[in-house]
Amino acid sequence: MKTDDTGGTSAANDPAHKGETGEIEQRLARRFAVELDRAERDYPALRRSRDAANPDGAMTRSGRSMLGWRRLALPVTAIAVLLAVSLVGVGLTFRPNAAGPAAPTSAAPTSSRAASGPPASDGIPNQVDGQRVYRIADKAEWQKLSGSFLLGAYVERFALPCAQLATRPPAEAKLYGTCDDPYWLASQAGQPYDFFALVQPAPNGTDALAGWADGPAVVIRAHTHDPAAADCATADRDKCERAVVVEAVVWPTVPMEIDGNRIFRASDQGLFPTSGSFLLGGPFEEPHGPFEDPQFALPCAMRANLTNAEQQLIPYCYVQSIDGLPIAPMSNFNATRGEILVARVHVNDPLAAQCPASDRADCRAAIIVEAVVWHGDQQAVSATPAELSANPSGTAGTNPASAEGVGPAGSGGASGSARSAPPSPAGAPSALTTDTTTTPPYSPSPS
Amino acid sequence: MQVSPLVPALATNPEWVATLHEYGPLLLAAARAIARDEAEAEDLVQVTFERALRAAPTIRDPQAIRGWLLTVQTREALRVVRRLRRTLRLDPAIHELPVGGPDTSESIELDEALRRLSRPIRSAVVLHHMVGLSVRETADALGVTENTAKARLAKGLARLREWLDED
Repeated sequence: MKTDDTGGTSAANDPAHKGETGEIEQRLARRFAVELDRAERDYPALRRSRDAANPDGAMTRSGRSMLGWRRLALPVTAIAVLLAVSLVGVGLTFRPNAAGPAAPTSAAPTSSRAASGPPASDGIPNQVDGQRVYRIADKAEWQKLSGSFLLGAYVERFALPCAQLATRPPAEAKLYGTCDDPYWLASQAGQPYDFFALVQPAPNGTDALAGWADGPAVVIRAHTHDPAAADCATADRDKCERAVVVEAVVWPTVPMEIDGNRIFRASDQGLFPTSGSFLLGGPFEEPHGPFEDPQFALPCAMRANLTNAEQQLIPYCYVQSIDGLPIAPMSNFNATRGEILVARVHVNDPLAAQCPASDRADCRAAIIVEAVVWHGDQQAVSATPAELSANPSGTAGTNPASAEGVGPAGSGGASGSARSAPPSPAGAPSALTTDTTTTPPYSPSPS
Repeated sequence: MQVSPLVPALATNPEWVATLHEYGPLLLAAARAIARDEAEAEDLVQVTFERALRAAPTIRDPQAIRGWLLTVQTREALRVVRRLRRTLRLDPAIHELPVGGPDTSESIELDEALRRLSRPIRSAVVLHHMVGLSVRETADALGVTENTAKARLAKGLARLREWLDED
């Protein structure tokens, strides 16, 4: 029998070697064909078994399968605790430019949400603006409240494979999700498998959570007993009444503007200026998760034969994000995972012209960070906002990234870290306001 | 000019979820062959999906998804967490044999021989000789060099031959 240097012949699927395949390899191939048939039959049942949701929206599993997930609980919990400790350690406490020579006079706006005291051991403040911040574990209390309340949690994003449910009526679809709805509120970071410590928020409102997924602790304003529950079918009414509807993330706060320049958020993506620089704010994230460990390097599905332009513009494998938006690899700045920041960015980089036509739209849409102009945890602000003032976004000719690098030509601020840029009083933003609220708190009707 | 959004959150995209489900049976079959344990195989598929959903924005080449998913799953199977071996083995389906197919006694013999292989070697054999990945793809999935993958494949086949008493 002819063999190769693997001790056998090539894979059963390789027609070129079909004729040379040894007996063992043929048996292995036949065995797998049978296994594949069996898996085709079994897989729909496996999907269905992951589809059950308890009345609170938390996933339930068969006892046997749950053993497997429980088995993961220990390492996942340990990693989560380490994550929480490290996140607290790096200073997640929101300190909106409280001091420092370059801090704007309005850097601690009176209208901002202020956490009273440092976060508790779970990384979540106990109070914001004097209001109690409930925990997920306080469910028995907050589920009874009739108006808006504050709930501290970590936003986890994952969707479990499951059979698609039949189309639900609109009210039900607004108020309770299925296992394919990706946002969950967790009591600890990176703990997606403790299904008893998770709350699946109502789909109607999860847009507010997008930028915070897998990020720092947040405090949301939410309510239960949404008026839409009245439209749910009788059998679903109780579940609808208990649904947690997210109104807004109220802590940490993200500035709304600096020096009169609007700070865009991920939800504004369709409105991003297509020429010139603009500001993008939100939490900064890097890949991480409960399974992150040195022994597991996430394989990369990057295509072969990418052009240099594509490699620099399109975020393939190591995705950093601001407010949940992946940013281009050519971006060059320093930031700490989970921190709130404001960056000067641009899209439609000239380098996009060098991308193949098939990818040009993605290249043009790539978000290139030129510099971080404001850190939520820093005392000084770099000089870049002044440049923004001088070159308001949208002005022709201000977009700027050269084909070789990032940032406005001659700005000198594009490379390296915004943190390392010397504070410049002249460059400090003269006005900074924070995103205090976008929607009014929910309160039940007087009736 | 309106710029199309870059890499929308694929984790929320039903098409992406549907794409993953297309590979579900393949992943389940491979997981069963590697793990030799029904519950662990299901866990592996689940974890692979979860990872895929989290990593959705990084996956742009549909042609790469199959290999990528198998790589994720195989590496997960080889992770240190798997040392936490389950002490409860209550599921009679663990040793379930497929209905039909080739000679059942042959299947039993082959299954037992595969089970005797160490997991790294078995993973290589499964990915290359059963799933049909190339040696290079197998090496990538295992996180080893091609030479190491070849060595594992050679060792695996040699042992299988020995145990199956192939002439």
